Amino acid sequence: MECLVSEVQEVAENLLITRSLSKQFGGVKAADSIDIEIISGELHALIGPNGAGKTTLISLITGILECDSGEIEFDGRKINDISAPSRSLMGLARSFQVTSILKDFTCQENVAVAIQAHHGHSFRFWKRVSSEADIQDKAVDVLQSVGLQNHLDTIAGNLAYGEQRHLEIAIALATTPKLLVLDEPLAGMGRSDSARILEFLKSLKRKYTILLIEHDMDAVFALADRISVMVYGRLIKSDTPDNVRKDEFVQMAYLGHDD
Amino acid sequence: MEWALLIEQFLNGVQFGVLLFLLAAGLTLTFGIMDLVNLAHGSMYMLGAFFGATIFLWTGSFILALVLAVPIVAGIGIITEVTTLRTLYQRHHLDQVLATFGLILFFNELVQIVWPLEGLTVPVPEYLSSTVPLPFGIEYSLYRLMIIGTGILLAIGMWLLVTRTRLGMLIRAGASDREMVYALGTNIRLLFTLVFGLGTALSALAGVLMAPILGANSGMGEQIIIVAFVVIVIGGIGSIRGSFIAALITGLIDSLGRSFLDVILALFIPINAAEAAAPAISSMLIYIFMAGILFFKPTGLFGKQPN
Amino acid sequence: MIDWKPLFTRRGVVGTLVVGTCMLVPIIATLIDEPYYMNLFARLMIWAIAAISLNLILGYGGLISFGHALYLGIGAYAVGICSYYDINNIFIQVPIALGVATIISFVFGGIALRTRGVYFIMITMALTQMIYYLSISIEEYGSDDGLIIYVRSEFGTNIINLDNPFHRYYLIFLVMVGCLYLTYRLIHSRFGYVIRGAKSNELRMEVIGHSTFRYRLVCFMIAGVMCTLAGVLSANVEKFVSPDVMHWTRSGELIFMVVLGGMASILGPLTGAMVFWLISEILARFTEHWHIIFGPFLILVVLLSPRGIDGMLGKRGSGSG
Repeated sequence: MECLVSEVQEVAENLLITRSLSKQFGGVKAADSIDIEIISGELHALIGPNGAGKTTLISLITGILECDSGEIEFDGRKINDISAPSRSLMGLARSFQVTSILKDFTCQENVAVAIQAHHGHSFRFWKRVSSEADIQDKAVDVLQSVGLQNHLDTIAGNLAYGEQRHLEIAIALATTPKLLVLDEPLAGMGRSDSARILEFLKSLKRKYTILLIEHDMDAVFALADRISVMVYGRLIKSDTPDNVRKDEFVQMAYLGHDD
Repeated sequence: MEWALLIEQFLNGVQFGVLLFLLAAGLTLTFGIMDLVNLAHGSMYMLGAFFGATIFLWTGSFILALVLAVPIVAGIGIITEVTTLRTLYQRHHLDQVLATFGLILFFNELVQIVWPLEGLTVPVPEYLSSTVPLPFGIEYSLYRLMIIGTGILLAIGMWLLVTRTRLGMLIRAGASDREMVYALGTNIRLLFTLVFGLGTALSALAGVLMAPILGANSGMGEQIIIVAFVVIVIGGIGSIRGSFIAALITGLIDSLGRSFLDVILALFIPINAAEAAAPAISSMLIYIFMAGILFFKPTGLFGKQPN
Repeated sequence: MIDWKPLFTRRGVVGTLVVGTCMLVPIIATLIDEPYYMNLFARLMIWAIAAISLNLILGYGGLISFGHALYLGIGAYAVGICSYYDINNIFIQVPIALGVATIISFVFGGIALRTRGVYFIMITMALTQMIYYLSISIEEYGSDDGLIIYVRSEFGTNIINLDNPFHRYYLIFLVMVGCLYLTYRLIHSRFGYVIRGAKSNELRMEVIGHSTFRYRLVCFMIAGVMCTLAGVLSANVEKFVSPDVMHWTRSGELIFMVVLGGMASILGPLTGAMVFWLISEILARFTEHWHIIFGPFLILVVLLSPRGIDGMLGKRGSGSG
């Protein structure tokens, strides 16, 4: 693991770059000329007050929204015109702030259908998915990694809220992403659930390149390699946790409220 | 000679368009504000025709037919809203489609029980039965001109209502952002019932006006309601302006297509083939037009884009 | 090892009863000398096939297609028009029917699936209406009087002869069972999971890498082609086809059968079709104006039992049939 870290830092290649990425809703600039760089292997946190445009930014990155102008480059390719599903196949995965699971599917089916998308096409009309061992085995593995191994056959809608949040992440992981975008994985969680997810996020660090939106500042500063700060649709700072903490402008604009 | 026919068909198209607008306005409002797909809107048009024709036959007064039939049918519409449709506002579109389909079956059968099976026919009121001389030696029906005039007046009235009154403000707010109407804290139920009554009244009015031309028949509502759906889909659901423009375009395409398509086609293909193909194609013209619009603008000309 | 357990659940018992009844009707009808029932059930099963196909896009796909009767019309007219030109071989008729259905469902699906919600409902309805008016305007094929089919489709062998009511009946029965089995396989396949997932949460499916549009389009086409088979069979039972077969109220009735039986259940459309016919038969005995009762009944079903008959048989797990 150590060795991987040093390698990453040596090469320091950018997995994701945006250049002057902009998006307006009506008159509101939700993303105003954003330049962000995500380095391969890092855990990059994105913070900012509510309504700063964080979710808009990751929706632009994952292809759910179309940008007005600017450029997105992922894995060395310009992806502006690539659809959300194709971006997923290239290795971009995201979780949602508002839990977005297939509520009437079981946990295993939720994960399996994500794996299936990355195992060839789905124009297969006859063979049961449940008999495709490679997909199902992997689904069980993924669910095990998030601690849902006892809920394989539970209908997702019947899970407790905290478990649904785990499943949310599991679905994203199931697509074996190069970049994992997590939109407030701790949102609405109780203390013990939060702690469990946090532990889990730690275990993901270095295995995946992660872009993390989170409001829990203790978690962010403990986990992140670098932090970007967004305010009113603009990216005002992108630096190491220490430098971000020290930055007066950031303190004024955002962190100041905490003290 | 060709010009005379063209102008006459143009006026027919406008008249059909105006009629479509009267139906589409109510549809697009109930959908835009209440999120209700109301297939039974055409039934109100049919009831308008039946009540209008009956009152006209009894009293001999067309004015009285208008004045009585429209409120009666609006009343029936409001009763339907309060008893059945109101419970459907928050339901899935599928439930709305099915339940209002049930209403159509009910109303169609009802008029067959109450009125003669073959329907009713009424004459054009005498004082409107003359023709008006127009340029190129055209004699155009005064009654149809009256329908065009009424329709345009009502369209202006709707426009004033929507842009200049408090009710209109609520309607616009509701059409653009349904949550907002709830947030405004007005009496939603009353607003919905009012809007529904208004839509029904327009539809019934259209029915009364058309009775002297088409008569009153069971099932006449569905034929026209699907064209009205085409209109609001082209115009963009929820947009009064869109449905007015789309109604006129649709009316004109239909009417001009039926009379001139063979001539136009004959420019490209042999005249025999053109004459054979024209009726078939002209009956599909408005649908082809709609498909074309939706292919480029999936939410219609003036519909709001989904995020 | 065959697992017999599902047969002994409530849902299994009802399913066995429904399919079993369809299988035994000709025998019973012959025993009690009431051939009428055999014809009734033949028609009923044709409607069931149409409803089963609609269930694929409506029940499993969550797409409210209000124009599905179009494909009944395509199937029936394919037989009618072929027979008009003395082409009675079913091995020519059926490929023509399915070919036309494939092309039309591809084009119409491609247009309709670009839209969402109410637009989808209305555009499917309008496109079907367009073909309905087309069929009315072609005088060569009988306009709204329809087309009489003098000769039933021929298999070119005496083993299957559609003039024989038993052969006809069991061919329909076999096609219906085939469609049920196909549905069962489809919904458990990769394809089925994508279709059902897109109904449940389209955005999620897109984000994990499924381009839902193309899967939905193929599903729309499969449903259309399956329903076309029902149309071919219908032409052979009625020996007649008219534009009426694709009138929009037919599409509405198909939707009602699916909802009545229970959306997204394999046998739901069949039970729905059966109950639909049962009720209309019974009501029609009391009064010719049976719609006056049927309309409100439909409304009550929608308001009181949104999950249909299948819903009354208890909760179901995911993926079960």
